[in-house]
Amino acid sequence: MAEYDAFFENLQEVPQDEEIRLVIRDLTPGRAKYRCQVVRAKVSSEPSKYPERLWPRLGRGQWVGEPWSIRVVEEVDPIPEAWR
Amino acid sequence: MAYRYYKDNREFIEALRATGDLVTVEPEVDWDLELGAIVRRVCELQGPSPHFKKIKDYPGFEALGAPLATYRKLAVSLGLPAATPIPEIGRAYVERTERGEPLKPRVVDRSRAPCKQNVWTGDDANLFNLPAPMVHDGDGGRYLATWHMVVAKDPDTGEVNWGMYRQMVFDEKTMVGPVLPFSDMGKMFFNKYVPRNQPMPFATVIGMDPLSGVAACAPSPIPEDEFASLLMGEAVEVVKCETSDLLVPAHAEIIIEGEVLPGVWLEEAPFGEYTGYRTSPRERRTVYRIRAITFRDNPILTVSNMGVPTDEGQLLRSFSLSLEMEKLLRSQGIPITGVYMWPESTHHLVVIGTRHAYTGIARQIANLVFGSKLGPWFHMVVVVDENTDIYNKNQVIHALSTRCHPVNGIHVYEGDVGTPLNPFATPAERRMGKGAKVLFDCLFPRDWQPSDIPILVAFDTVYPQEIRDKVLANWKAYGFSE
Ligand SMILES: Cc1cc2nc3c(=O)[nH]c(=O)nc-3n(C[C@H](O)[C@H](O)[C@H](O)COP(=O)(O)O)c2cc1C
Ligand SMILES: [Mn+2]
Repeated sequence: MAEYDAFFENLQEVPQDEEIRLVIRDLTPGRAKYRCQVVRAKVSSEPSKYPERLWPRLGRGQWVGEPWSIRVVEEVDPIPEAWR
Repeated sequence: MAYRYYKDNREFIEALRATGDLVTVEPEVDWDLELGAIVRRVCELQGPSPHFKKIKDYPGFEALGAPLATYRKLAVSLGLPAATPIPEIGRAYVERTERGEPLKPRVVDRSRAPCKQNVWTGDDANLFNLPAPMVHDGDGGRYLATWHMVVAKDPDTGEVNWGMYRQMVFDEKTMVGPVLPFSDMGKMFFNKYVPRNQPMPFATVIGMDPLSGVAACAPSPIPEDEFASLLMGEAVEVVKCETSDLLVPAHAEIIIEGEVLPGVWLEEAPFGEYTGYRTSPRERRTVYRIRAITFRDNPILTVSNMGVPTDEGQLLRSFSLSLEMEKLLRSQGIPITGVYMWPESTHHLVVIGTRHAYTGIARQIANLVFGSKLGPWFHMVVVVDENTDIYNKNQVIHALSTRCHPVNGIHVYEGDVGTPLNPFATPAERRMGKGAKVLFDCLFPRDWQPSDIPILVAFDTVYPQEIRDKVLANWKAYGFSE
């Protein structure tokens, strides 16, 4: 199971179970830890609803401690093609 | 004439070691928080700079923490004795930058530029091949650029800017960071490149010589590559980039080349900031796309850990902001006696001493400095008379607490330029970069009768000279040790 975290200004306002754009960080240990990616994904506050783990943080980096779950639908390249 | 200075970070490391301001850390440290925590503690203790010899996951890379976070280290960087008093360090800065002729940098061949010893392009130009630390737990990402400079050029005038603009690693090829719209690079990028939809070539220089760093974080009115020559007394040696015609300091440790992209914004922050807080929100900010990385053998990454005082941003920006303010005020003929910012104010509070030459002088001083290019970076001006020692916290607190009238002496400025980093600003003000400012006028009004003006009761002010001389001469005889 992959583990990610993401920053949310307000957890109550996060749309659950619908496809949203968000930036997640890969927590896999090693040189690329904390790599960010823009994804389209579904998230849930239920820890076992989706296959991967998502640790929420609040807007100033506060660790929440209750795991959410995430299904990444696709990684989105945020850089327009002309400038890749 | 060249002053005594250090051509690269390595000579500076040896100089700091010689003055007892450096510790070599031999055990391996983890880039993920451990290294940052060590640097943080060093800042809070105002201790010697750690030179990390081994970094987990990154054999061959080294790091230097808190390179300039004390006045001792600043003095050493200027070739002065480490114990040089603050006003004297300030005098050296003002004299060198006012007296000398700024020199264009001298371009050297790449064979004489250590920063070209290793060149990564293509897939090798991968930001995860560099030991970017996770500086504080809870930061929005790994910050590769915390004590560095970003080189960019005006597309019309060709004028060069070196400035510090923090950069977070987003992915292999992408960094992201805030470029505030009133900074020199912000004005260049947002007013010129973005409207033309033109990518802006940049080069991030990490581990430059210390005086180039001082120049890059100074709010200099002239291009910083020439400003650095004023501090050194000779031209800076630079070399051409691999992928653009930008010039970078030849003796720096690591160069990251690429382009700043117009019209693309990615999430950056939160980050432990110079105010001592994580304040500015995670939001979409300026995107740096990288094309090449060049570096010296065994490169030494420089790491600043911003947080509660004292970090190098607080110390050096307090230093150069106040001295640039002093030059500005003097250039306008205002009879000031000095300008100082305590690093502990995180360069938010400036103390200005002046002769009370005419009514309204405190307002004139505040209007001038708030209205200048320096204005967005601070919001409290305390104006004291020429007899108050502006470097002496006790005297300034005493003056502020006794001479500033709560109604007549405090002047509030609303609707000013601010930054998203101000902890006191409302969330809405932070989003809009809106600020507010305040002047504390600690001058007794000139229209009071002389006999109405309170007399300062101090050893030096209320005893005749012969009594003071006698007391001082007999001090030990009275039984006092000091
Ligand atoms: C360590 C450090 C980090 C900084 N980070 C930023 C930043 O991310 N964005 C920004 O706009 N200014 C930042 N600043 C302030 C600019 O570097 C500062 O304005 C600099 O003097 C550039 O001045 P200029 O705009 O006159 O060229 C930082 C300063 C320091 C010392
Ligand atoms: Mn500048």
